[in-house]
Amino acid sequence: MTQEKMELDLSIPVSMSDGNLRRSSSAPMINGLSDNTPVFEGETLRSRRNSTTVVTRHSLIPPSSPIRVPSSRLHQIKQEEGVDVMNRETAREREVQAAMQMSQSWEESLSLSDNDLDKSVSPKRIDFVPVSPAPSPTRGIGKQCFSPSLQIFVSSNGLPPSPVPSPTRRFATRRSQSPINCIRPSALGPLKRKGEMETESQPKRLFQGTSTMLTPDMSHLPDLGSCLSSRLLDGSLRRLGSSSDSPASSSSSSSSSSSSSSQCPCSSFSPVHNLSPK
Amino acid sequence: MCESQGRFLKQIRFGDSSYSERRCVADIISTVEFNHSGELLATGDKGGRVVIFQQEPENKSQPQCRGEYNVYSTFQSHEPEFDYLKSLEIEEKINKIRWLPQKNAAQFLLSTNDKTIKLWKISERDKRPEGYNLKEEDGRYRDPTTVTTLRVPVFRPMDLMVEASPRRVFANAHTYHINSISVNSDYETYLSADDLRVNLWHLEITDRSFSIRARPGAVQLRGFKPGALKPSCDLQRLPRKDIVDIKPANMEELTEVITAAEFHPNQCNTFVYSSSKGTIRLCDMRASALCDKHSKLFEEPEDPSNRSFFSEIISSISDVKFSHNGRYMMTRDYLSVKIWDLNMESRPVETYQLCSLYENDCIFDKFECCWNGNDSVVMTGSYNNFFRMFDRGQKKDVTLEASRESSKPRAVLKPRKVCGGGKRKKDEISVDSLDFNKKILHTAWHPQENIIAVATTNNLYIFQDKLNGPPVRGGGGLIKTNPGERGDTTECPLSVLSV
Repeated sequence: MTQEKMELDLSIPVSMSDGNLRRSSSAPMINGLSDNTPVFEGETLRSRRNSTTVVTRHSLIPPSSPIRVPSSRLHQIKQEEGVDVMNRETAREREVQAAMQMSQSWEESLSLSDNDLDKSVSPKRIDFVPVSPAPSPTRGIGKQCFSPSLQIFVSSNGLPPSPVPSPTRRFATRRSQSPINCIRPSALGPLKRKGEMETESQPKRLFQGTSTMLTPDMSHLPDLGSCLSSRLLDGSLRRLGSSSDSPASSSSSSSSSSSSSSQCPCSSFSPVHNLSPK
Repeated sequence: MCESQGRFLKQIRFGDSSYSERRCVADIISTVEFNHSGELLATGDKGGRVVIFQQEPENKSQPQCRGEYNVYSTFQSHEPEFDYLKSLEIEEKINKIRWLPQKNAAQFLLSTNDKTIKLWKISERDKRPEGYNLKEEDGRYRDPTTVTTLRVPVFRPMDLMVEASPRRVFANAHTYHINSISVNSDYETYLSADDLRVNLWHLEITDRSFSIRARPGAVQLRGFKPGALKPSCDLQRLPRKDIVDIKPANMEELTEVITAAEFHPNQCNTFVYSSSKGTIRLCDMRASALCDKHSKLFEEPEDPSNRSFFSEIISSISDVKFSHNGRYMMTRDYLSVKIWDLNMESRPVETYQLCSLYENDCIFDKFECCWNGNDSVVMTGSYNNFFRMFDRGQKKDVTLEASRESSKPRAVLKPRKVCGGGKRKKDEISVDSLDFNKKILHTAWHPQENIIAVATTNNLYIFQDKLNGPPVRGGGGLIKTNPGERGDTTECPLSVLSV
């Protein structure tokens, strides 16, 4: 008995590397050691893993002040690699849906005006443009010229840059015009994908009668532009399609589902703000 | 005989005070590195930018004062990227910068973020062509009908312009986060290390990495002079693209990660890598093409009486640096700086304790360390914007602070003292009042002179010593100059050195 106890005491530091240690009050806040729940539960698409040892945990707090929980690099790698791909995808789907659900309920509970597009700034927005005083150079970084005497960037022929705005700014804004902004539940019938996870049973109740579903909380999705996996897009399309109470969709959902594939989705939709909420 | 640590006076502080108050995240300095001559100092930050400072030529009227450092060049090295397969952002933060030795008029440096290493060429232009026939001076094309005469463009002087251009991009070779790069003494190859693997690259070749194999029949690799074109050993493409791989078949068995790696300063076949378990492995590329098996393992046996819940975490080595003479290496873990003799694997030859208390959340902070030019003094950063120097010969150490409030320009830095519990003397700081958010993770020492660069979160401080000793090379020591020559500076107070 005593021997067992001794072994237990000595094995505590060793078992830490196995990741099986239960969290206790004297332990440092090493993320995720106590259970296997996804670390980013409740977090939106801010999937940024920093190369340093901190892991952002809470999403509803603006990114400028995330709660950061330090953890060792060893633990981070084990967590990322330990879960097999299928479970990881499932976990990601769950995260995204939970986030959408949360932001959905957030918007509903907080919005006072009918026009949700007034909310132009989403706290979950991922900003790719570097936050710095220096102008962002052209994408696909090339030559950059600096004048030590003037302490400014100059163009390659030695002259100060012209006041034409940097082309990257244009690209950055263009990326947000992803078709997902225009997609409305009305024109798409229920779409099913082969091999879809148990998300098929996603209750309609989440999106029932939500013609305003495509609020700026979805706007952060287009910030990733083409980065969205197609599965996510299809999944959300399918969920949009499942909402049959939307005023504009009730009459045409069945007939449009077959024809929607042949035309550009954007053309048959009207922008969200034209809808009057029920 | 005289040591100059403790006599540093503040020369320059870079970084806008308004920025530090606004806490602009992108301005957080993430790496600092002098070039081989010490004339240039490069910094990288969290926003993916590199800023290079250049030392002004010495002022002939004031020979005691070495030139100041001013901004020479700045460029965006890395931008944030997105890994589509894993749905992960790739940070643009510059993890490390390493300079190549200068071979011609241009300067070259390697900068890396988590995934991609880039070779940048920094060149100067002070002339530009003027008088084109078809273009205006600002680059717009002229209306051809207005061109009536022909002229020959001439080069005219212009304001100095520093051009940074990416010459090589070494990408897609690391599954995990790159923590180190190190240029080989052959100046043709370099290594990059992530958490589980070390890659060997040739500077000219970006589409693959290499392993080393000694020529069959060769007893010993030839060393060769820097600048020679032929590498000293054949680079072979083997099925594996890395030279060290510690990834186990079953990730559940992973117990440690690679934290730092560096090439030996003059043996081009030797490199070391440190681990999160506090071990350092020295690998000899002549022994085998793949260096999974180490040649030497440096590990200090743990003192069982000191074991605690945090023992394993705080034993993780955050930095490893060879001495300039190549006989020693220094490692930094959370509580101490250790100096190892490469010929003795069982324990370090010197250990300098930094502190004995720590904050729970801060035990993952990664501090760097550095040697001075003649390997007599080592330096590392700490909390509360303190940094520490240890004189190996005199067995003395000093704690200094880098902050606006604590020192005026040209004033001698006052040594600080941290007291553990108990009675606090005047001017001492108690451990409880240390600010753990103000950490100095990155420091650098000029390769020849007593000039140091210290990075706080947003600001860069450059200090130099008051004495104007001759440049230190190899084993030379500093010589104290006649106090009368120093102009308005006060006499060196030896009491400054007291601990």
